[in-house]
Amino acid sequence: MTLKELWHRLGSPRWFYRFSGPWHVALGVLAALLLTVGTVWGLVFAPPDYQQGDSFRIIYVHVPSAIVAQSAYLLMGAAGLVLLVWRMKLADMVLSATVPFGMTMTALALFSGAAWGKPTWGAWWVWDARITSMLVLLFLYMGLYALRQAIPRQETAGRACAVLALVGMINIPIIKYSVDWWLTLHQGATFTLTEPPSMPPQMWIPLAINVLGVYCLFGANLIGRLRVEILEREQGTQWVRELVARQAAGGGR
Amino acid sequence: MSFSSLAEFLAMGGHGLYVWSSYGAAVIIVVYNVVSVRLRLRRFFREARDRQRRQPYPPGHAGGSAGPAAELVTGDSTRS
Repeated sequence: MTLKELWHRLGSPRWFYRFSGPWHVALGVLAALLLTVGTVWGLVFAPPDYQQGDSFRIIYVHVPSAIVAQSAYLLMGAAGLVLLVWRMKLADMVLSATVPFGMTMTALALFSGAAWGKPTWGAWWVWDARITSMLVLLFLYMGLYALRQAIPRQETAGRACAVLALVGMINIPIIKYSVDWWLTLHQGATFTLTEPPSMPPQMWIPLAINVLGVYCLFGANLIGRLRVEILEREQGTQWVRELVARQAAGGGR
Repeated sequence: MSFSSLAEFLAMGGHGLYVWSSYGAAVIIVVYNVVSVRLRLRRFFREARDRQRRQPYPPGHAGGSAGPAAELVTGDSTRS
């Protein structure tokens, strides 16, 4: 299947529902494996930091959740663009299905950051550029959630959310470069494309595993939410009715 | 392994409160995301099944199957 064919088929929620079933399961299993290995390795086997001691182990929660929260927002921005330009139904569904995961992961990044800041900097919270821009990200997710609830007509809600998601994209480079542009307590990026990590492999390998794991979790969760969303929006169609009838008779989905 | 006893592991070098509350929050958020989707899927199938039992055919249905039949009717009307 070429990319162009895939693009056309993505216009059909029914095709996406059929195609995504195996991916949903595979990504879910992979996420469970990776997150278990990465977390146990990071919590039990990684050596303590020479300055921070064991509190540095919060990194295995903090960094993956912060990275995936921003990636989820990037995906929403892309979906918003696709929705406004091509009016693809699936893009609208991606726009709404990404919000809960992105919002909870942003909250987790902020919470674990506070729990790490207290023993390390002596403060739960500082109004620093990185932390404040992450708080703005949380407000953007909340705004997208509220906006969809506030507008009853699906098409209007989708377009309003697409515009808000696109405007909010300005915040993503601000989060990314906040630690370089402003004087800050927050340390720089752990993983960069140009240099090897500054921590030993026994520390960063489990972190890389958890980052991969949280991306798989995001993929599985997004597909799961999209599948429910497709069923709810297409509930009047013949194929969903047949699916429901098969399910009621004890068959598969 | 970087800890010699379970008590030492739980204490996290005196930072137990911070480390365990972070991991606790992570578990809660992951479980919430997984479970909420499952519950919504289950609720959809339950409600859709009940709806279909009450109303074996969708509203505006004129006999036969819903989707393809409706398409056929509009197709014919544009042709004539």
